[in-house]
Parts: sequence; C-alpha cells; structure tokens
Amino acid sequence: MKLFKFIINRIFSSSITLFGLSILIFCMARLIPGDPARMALGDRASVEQVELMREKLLLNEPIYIQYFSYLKGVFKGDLGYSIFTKKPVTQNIYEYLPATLELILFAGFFMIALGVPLGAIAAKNNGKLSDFIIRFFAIFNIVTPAFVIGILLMILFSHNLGWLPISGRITDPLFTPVRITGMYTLDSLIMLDFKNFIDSLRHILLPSIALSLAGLSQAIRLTRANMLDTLKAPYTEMANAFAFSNKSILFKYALKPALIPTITIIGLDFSALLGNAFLVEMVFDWPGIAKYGVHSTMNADLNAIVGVVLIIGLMFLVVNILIDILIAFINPKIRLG
Amino acid sequence: MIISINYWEVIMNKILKKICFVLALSTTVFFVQSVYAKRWVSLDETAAGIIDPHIGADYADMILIGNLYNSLMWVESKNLVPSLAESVDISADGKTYTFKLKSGVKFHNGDTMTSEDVVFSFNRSMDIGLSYSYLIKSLVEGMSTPDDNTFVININTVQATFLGSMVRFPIVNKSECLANKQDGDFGDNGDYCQAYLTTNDIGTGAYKIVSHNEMELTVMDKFNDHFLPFNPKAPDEARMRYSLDAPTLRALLEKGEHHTSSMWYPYEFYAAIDKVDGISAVQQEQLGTYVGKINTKRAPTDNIHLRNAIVAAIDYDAISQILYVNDKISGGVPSKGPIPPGMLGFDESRPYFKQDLELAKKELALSGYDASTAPVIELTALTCCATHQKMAYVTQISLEAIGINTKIVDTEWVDQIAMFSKPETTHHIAYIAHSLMTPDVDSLLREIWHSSSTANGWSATEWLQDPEVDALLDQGRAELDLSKRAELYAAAEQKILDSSPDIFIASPNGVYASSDLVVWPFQNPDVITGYIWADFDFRLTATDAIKD
Repeated sequence: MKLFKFIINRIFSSSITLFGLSILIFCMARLIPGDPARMALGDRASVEQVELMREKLLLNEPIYIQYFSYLKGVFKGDLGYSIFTKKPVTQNIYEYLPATLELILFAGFFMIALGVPLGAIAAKNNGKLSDFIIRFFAIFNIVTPAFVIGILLMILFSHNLGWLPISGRITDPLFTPVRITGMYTLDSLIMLDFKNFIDSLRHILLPSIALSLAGLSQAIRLTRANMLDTLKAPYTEMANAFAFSNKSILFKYALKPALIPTITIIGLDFSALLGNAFLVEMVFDWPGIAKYGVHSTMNADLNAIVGVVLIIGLMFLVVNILIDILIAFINPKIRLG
Repeated sequence: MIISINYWEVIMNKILKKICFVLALSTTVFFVQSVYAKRWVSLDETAAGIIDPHIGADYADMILIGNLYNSLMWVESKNLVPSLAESVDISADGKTYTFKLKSGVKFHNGDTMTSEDVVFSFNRSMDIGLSYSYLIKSLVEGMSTPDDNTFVININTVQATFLGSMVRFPIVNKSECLANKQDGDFGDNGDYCQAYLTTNDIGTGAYKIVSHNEMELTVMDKFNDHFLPFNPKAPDEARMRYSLDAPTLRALLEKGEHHTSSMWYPYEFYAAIDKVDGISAVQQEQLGTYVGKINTKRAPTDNIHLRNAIVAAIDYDAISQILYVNDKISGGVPSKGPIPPGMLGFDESRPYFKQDLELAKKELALSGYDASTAPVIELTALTCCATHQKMAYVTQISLEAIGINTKIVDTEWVDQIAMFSKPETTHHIAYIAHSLMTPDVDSLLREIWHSSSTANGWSATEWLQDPEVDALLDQGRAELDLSKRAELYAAAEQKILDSSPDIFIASPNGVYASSDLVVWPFQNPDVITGYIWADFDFRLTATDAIKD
C-alpha cells in the first residue's frame, strides 16, 4: 500500500513538472529568432500571405491565448502542424519517436549490461592490470564525444572492415518489419521475421554503442567506487570472517548495495542519451526524434519544438519514476521512509 | 569388360547430367539476375523533402517534384519548350494563351490527363497560395477547357514572363486528388488532398513515388508509361536521402551505397573526395548570381560613394580563391554584373570586377567618411556555410585596407530571415547566391532589385527601391519583343550597377561529389539547362550503378 502511495505521489509530482515544462518551452520557443510564418511560407510569399499565416498560427495573439489554445489541442492529442515537414506534429512523433526510443533502449541495455559487470570486475581487481585497463577505457569514453566515437566506429567497422552497415535503421527501408511498436528489432522479433531482426540488429549496434559509451563509463566508475566502499564495509568484513563464498560476498553483500547510486545515475543518464542522440542520429543517418527536433529548431517550427521537448520530458519523467520504483524495491528504507 | 563399359557410361552420364545441371542453374541465375538487377542512383539534399507540387519550393522539393510531375512547359538545353502541352498559341493582344495538350498522357495511376486536370491544378496552386503561386495569382482572369485537350488561360496584363512561369505549375490528377481529400479549408475541395500528398504523388512524371519519408529517404521508380523517351541508361530506381553528415556521406560514397552529394558541403570536402578512385568533384554551371548585398538604406552604406568604395576595394582574386575547389572545379566564375552570361540583356563587353584601391580611397574621400567617423560595418557570416564565412573575412581584410572598420556577425539563417525583414536591422553586407526560378531573367532581376520584393524576407535586402529600376523591369515584363526586352534589361543592369547595391562576386556553380558511374544532365553539354530544378532530371541521367 505504501508503495502504491509512493507511485501515485511520484506520478502527481511528475505531472506538475510536465505542466511547468510545457509553459517554459512554449515561451522559450517563441524567443527563438525568426518569423515562423515567414519560415512556413518561404521567402517568396507576399506580406499579406505571411500575415494570414500569422493569424492562422495565432502569432498575433497574446502568448497566454496561444498557450491555452495549444493546451486545448494537446488534450485532444493534437500537437499542432509542423511547418517544417508540413505534417501534424503528432504524426511526426509517431514516425520518429520509436527510432530514438529503440536506440536509447539499446544504449541503456549496454550501459547496464556492460557497465555494472565491468565496474564490479574493476573493484574486485582493484589496483591490478584489469582495473587499470577498465578505468582507462572509462575515462577515454567520458572525455570523447559520442559523435567522435560514432565516426571512429563507423570508419573501422563499416568502412574498413565492412562488418556492419554505415547508416540507417535497415538495409532497405522498402522492406521494413510490420509496424507494431515502430521499433524494428522488437517488431521483427514479434513477427518472427528473423531476417529483418538480424538486419536491424546489425544497424543499431554501432549507433547504440556510440551513444552508450559515456553512460556506460559512468556506470563503471560509480559501480567500482561504490563497490570499493561496500567491500570495506563491516558487514562484508564479517561475511569474510565467516568464510562466506567469494561469489556470495561479491554479489550479495558488495554489489547489491553499490547498485543504488548507479541505478539513480543511469536514470539521469537517460536524459543525457536523449541529448546526445541527435549527434549520433546525424552521424548514422538515424531518422529519430532528436534529429527531427534539431531540424525543427533550425527552422523555427514552434509546434514541433514544443512537441518534441514535451515528449522527451515525458520520457525522462517516466524513466525516473521507473527508476524510483526500482530503487524502492531494492532499498525498502526508501519506500517505507 | 561389359561391366566396365557400363560403368564408364554411368560415369559419363553422371558427369553430363552434372554439367547440364550446372549450365541450367547458371542460366537461371543469370536470367533471374538480369530480370531483377536494376540501374539506380542515390543523391542527397537537406531535409525535409516536400513532394506536394504546390507547396514544396526548396532545392530537395524542386528536384523531387521535377521528376514526379510535369508542367505545361519545361526547359530543354536552355530552351523553353512545351512539355505536357503539344503547342501554345498566344493571342495578338498577348493576354490569352491557348495550350493544346499532348493526348494520351498517363498519370501514375493509369488515368489519362485532360484539360480539367490542368484547370484543377492551377486552381489548387492559387488557392493554397504557397510555392510559386505568386507568379500568376494576381494575373489570371479566367480559365476554360473547350475540349479535353485544350486549355485556355486569360491574363489581365501583358506579361512576357508568363509562359516561362508555366514551368513552376505541375499538373496533378484531379480525380485522384479529390478521391483522397480530407476535411479542410477549401470548401468542396476539402484539404485539396494535402495530407495525401505528404506521402503519395498524383503526377505524370517520369518517376513515381514508391516510399517517402521527408527526413530519411524517398524512393522513386521509373514510370514506364511516361510520354517522353528515357536515356537508355536511365535509372530504374532513384533515391533521395536527407541531411547526411560529411563523414557518413564519404563512407557511403566510397562503399558505392550512394552516388551524389548535395552542394552544401565545404569545398575542402569536394577537393578531398575528388582524390578517391571512382568519385569525382563535379560542377553544375548555374544560371544565377552570387552577390554581397549592401544595405542601401542604413548608414553608412546608404552613402553611394561609400558603396562605390566597398565595391572597388574588394579583393576579387581572393574571392575566386575561396570558390576554388581544384584545377577543374570551382564554385563560381567571375561575374560581370546582375545578368548571368547567356541571359537576355547580358553584355559580353562589360569588364570583370577587379580590386582598385586607388579608386576605393577616392570614393571613400567623396563619401565624407573616414576611419574615425564611419560607423562600423556589419558583415554577416552565415554559420551554416564555410564559404559565406570566408567571404566575410575577405571583405573585412579588403575594407580594412582602405580604413573602413568592420565587424563580422555570426548569424544563423533563421536569424537572418528575422533581422533582414527591415532595413534598420539588416546587416550592411551579406553574401547570398541566387538561382533563376523560371527560365526568364526577370525572375532574378525582380527578385533582388525590384521594390516589390523588398518585403519578402531575404532576397532583396539591398533595399534598393529605385523607381527607375522598377520602371525598367516593369517595362521589360510588358514587352513581348525580345530585342527590346534585352535593351530594357541592359538598361536596368546599368542603373543597378550605378547604384552599387551589391558586390558581384561570381556566377555560381553547384559543386557536388559524385560517383563516376553516374552522369547527370548537367555533366552533358548537350542537355545541361543551368537550372538546378531541371538538371537533376533522372530521365536524362545515365547510370551504370546496378543493384540486384
């Protein structure tokens, strides 16, 4: 019951955050230089046409009227019209969001599946060669931007070795898996379409690795540092004194408590993934929401900018609620506190 | 003995059967390959690619629409020729145009094009009011269809440019459009099938849409029922990708997964990739002008002598170096003035611009300004484009040589459009390349120097607003006699040059990185038009790139 209350509280506070974000981004988008009506119509439209478009987009109205009109649309699932793609923003998000979501999920998977074990190995072998190598790997990834790593990976594995594709989500976009979630790997797996599954997996490997490396390295460093602390903790020493097995000491007494800060940081890293996704999407020609968002900003596409930020904000909040719930499960003190 | 003979026969039989099997298999494989192997091309442009023919007007859109649709008129080898029209008759008063349409022209869904489709297309374009509708919207007085193959359009004023502007009005399939309309702002026409045309086409073009995602990829297939002949090596499939990063582009080009870049990469990229086997930097001679626009309505550049000083002080050789890619390829050739070479009114005898610091100093003295009194001149450096930034630096160095202080202002394109909407906020000098949007020099001169264009954002930010230039351009439009038109445009050119509203740096060339397997129309002297929207005609393209 307490957990249920905890979840409801988190959802409520997140809704308020999202509402605040919507006001903030709505106002900020209107501070971007450039006349959206002119951008929508092109440079050859007459002043009269531009004025008509301004009226249509409510740009001549006070900002609060613009906002409430927008909000009314949002509750009907209408995020407005994109002057950049000439389509409803909702349709654009439906088309581009799954690509980014898939990329981030894979990157998140690598962050956890590789970051935590490598951190644990480094902690266990503190001061040894393997610890040094893992730490060097982590620092290199933190200081090197994702797009540089992306280009290096592409040159090595796609261009020189030819093992993996250079760009895109699938070899031939004419033959995409049947859309269920919009995430090609998942959809092809659900439909038992193994040819497309392997193909989309090969395409997502390099961009997701490039995207994950900074977060993965954070996970390594945090896990290592926290585990070094827990390995020195009195309860671990007691477990050692009672001759518990190494495996039990490592996983049960050292790793589990060390994971709490790591998981919290991984939750926050999801927002960093969304931010970095643009650069990786550009390098790998990945048609995702981050690339769409940046193109929209460059074209003063107000509805698209607000729509993208709201969706990304929503994703960030959902991930953080999930992380909070996960931590509450791991550490009862949090949910009962 | 008998056994051994039988044994031998059995062996021979088996070998023969295997040979036959291998032969049959290889023939089948060859046959299957030859059936499914297809010629293809892949090019890229900046996102987003819009395929609605009455909405899209950017470079990507123009290439796509030019291949998916046809218009009544088009350009071939720099000449205006009938396309969907068989012939055109202009009334004696120059106000009625009667187009005989080609018969039996098929839309991509198999419908036959009629004059009803033409009327519907013009109405659609003018009602939506975007793209190039401004070219005719205030002119059209009425349209009629005496029969299925005749289209008559009446205009209210004689306008020599009218026929040329027909290239910007693609014809759509009326019944398919109305069958796919949704609720919208256009009465019985609903949304004029705008939603449908975000992913489909309803044209007669040589290529038809197979799939379209405006940010990722557009795939088009050859339309075999097209009414015009194809190059024997024309692609069966054409692909357009959007907004590729330079490293990705290079990797794709080198792997043969892509064939031709857009022209928006730094020249260093083209110079570097030209050294890769199988890929070359290629250039497209474009009809247009590359200018440094001088704000004539804001101090201190509102002073004619200061503008003269600027034009004389510019180091044109250094500008040429910026446009240099390698010994074969350049981003532009020196300019002689507003009218591009070969266009109506072009004066071959006019000299090229060259740096003259003595003249510049003399003009500066006449302006009444010196380094201590002249306000700092703002130079736009568009952050998108390395070439524009380099132009700003050369300008800065050139002007400092005569004592004019300058400030380079890094500017995003959206900022420029916003700031350049008023003379007070328009920077003093900004470099921009213009291309002709219709096959008539009027479309260039009017877009930049006519007063009516100054409210339109970025194209006329010299703010010239000279009644004499306006009058000459208006007379040029109304004059049907070609030689008289040429005289009027030459006179307008002289008036423009006398006002020094621009630094004329080049006649621009588009530079691309392209696979040696592909020959675009602009690489073929017999076919080149000089218009970007016509020089990427897939029908006239030859490709040896084959995919299974």
